Amino acid sequence: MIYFDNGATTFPKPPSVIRAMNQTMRLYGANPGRSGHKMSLKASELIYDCRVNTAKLFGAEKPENVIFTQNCTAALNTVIKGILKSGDHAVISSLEHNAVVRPLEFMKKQGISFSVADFSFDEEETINNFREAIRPNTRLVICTHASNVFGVRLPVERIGALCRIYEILFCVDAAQTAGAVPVSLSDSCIDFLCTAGHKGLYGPMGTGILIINTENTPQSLIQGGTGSLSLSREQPDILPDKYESGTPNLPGIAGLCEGVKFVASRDPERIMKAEIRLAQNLYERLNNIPGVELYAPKPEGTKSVAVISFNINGKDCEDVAMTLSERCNIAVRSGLHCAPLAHQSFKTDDKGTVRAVVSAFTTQAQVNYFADCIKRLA
Amino acid sequence: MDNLIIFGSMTPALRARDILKNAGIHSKLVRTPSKPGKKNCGYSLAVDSNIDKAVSLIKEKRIPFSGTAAADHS
Repeated sequence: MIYFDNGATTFPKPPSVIRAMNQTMRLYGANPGRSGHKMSLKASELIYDCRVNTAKLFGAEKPENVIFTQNCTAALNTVIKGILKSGDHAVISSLEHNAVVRPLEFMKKQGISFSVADFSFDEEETINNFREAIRPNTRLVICTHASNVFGVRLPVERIGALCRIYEILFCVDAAQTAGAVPVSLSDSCIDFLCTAGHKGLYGPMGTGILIINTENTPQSLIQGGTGSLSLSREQPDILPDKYESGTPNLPGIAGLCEGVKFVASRDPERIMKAEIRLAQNLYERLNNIPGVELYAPKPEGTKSVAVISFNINGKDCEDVAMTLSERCNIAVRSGLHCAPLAHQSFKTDDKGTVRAVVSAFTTQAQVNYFADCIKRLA
Repeated sequence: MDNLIIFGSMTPALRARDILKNAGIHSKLVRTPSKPGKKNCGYSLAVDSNIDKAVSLIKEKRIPFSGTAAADHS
C-alpha cells in the first residue's frame, strides 16, 4: 500500500525497530526492575537505554525525567489531571486534539475551567490571543506543537516565554512533531513535553512519552507496584517510578528505543527538511488540480509540518479516502481527525478533510502517484 | 567484601552506574540483599574500590540513594 496515513501512525517502521522487538520477545522477555536475575537486569537495561536516548534526543536534563506511557493521550492526561486542581484555569489553542479537550471538559465537573486561544496565521495575534486568555488563576497552558489536521505550527517558544512571565506551567503536545521537528528542552520554556512513540519516532503503537522539565511534578494518576520501596504503602515520589506502576511494555519500549536512535541518526532537522520538500511538492501538485480545495498555506519549514488537508469539491472526504484505498491502493485518513476545534477554526467542521502526511520513508515517486490519482478523481 | 551503594529503584541505580563508569569506577548492578527485619525491594551498585569517591559523585549529581552497606559474599 502507498502509505500517506503517517499522521495516525508511521508505516513502515525501520527494520531495527522490528528486530529489537523480536529479539526482546525471544531473548529478554523478563519483567524489568523487579528481579535480580540476568534476564530481568537485561530487560531493565533496555528500558534505561531508551530513557537515555530519548533524553538525549530532546535535550532532557536527566534520563529519569523521561516517563513511558501507553500513548500521547495518556501523557497529556497525566499532566492535565495531575496538575490542575479545583479552581484552576487552563488555556489551550484552537487547534487542540481531543486528547486535550476531552480531559479538560471532563474536569469541568471537578471545578476546572479553561479558555481557548485562537490560532492566527499572524504570529503576533496568536501570542496576543494567548495573553488575553490568561487569568489570575491560570495554572497551565497546553498547546499542540503542530496541528494534526492542517500541519500549521504554533509558536511554542514564544508561548512558553509568555508562560514564564506569568509563572504558568507550559505543556506541549508534540504528537505530530517529535522526530520531525528539532525540539530541545534544555533551552526552552516547556515544562512538559508529551508525544506518541509510534509516529515521528517510528516506534510501535502502544508507546508514548512524557518528559518532565520542571520541579512541579504532576500527581500520579495510577498507583501500584513499581519494584521499588515495596514496604511503603505510598506511591514512590521519585521519577520515573511515580508514573510507571505495573509491568511496562518492554517489547514496545525496546522498539521505541531503536526508533529514537533511527531519528537521531538521521537528524530531526534533516528529516524535517526532506519531509517539507515532499509536502511542498505535493501541495503544489494538488493546488494545480481544479476542484481541489486546500486550507493552509504551502508548508514551510519553520511554520509547518508535512501534513496536508484537502477536499475535492462535490465529493465527500470519506468517499475520496475509500476510493483512494480501493482503486489506487493509497492509505489516507478522512473525517475530523479527533480535532473538532481545529476544524471549527478552519471552517471544515461540517465536512471534514482528507489528510495526507509524509514520513521519512515517503518517496517523490509516491507523491507523484498520489497527485496523479487525485487528478483522476477530481 | 564489596561496598554497596543502595538505591530505591532501578533507574537511579543505572544512572549512577553510568556516571561511575565515566569516572573510571567499575560497579556491578545487583539486587539489594535483605537484612533481618529490614526487607525492601531495590537495587544496589557493588563497588570494589573508591567507595568514597563513588558516593561523592552520586551526591554531586543529586541521584537519590538510601545509603551504603558492606556486601557479604560468604
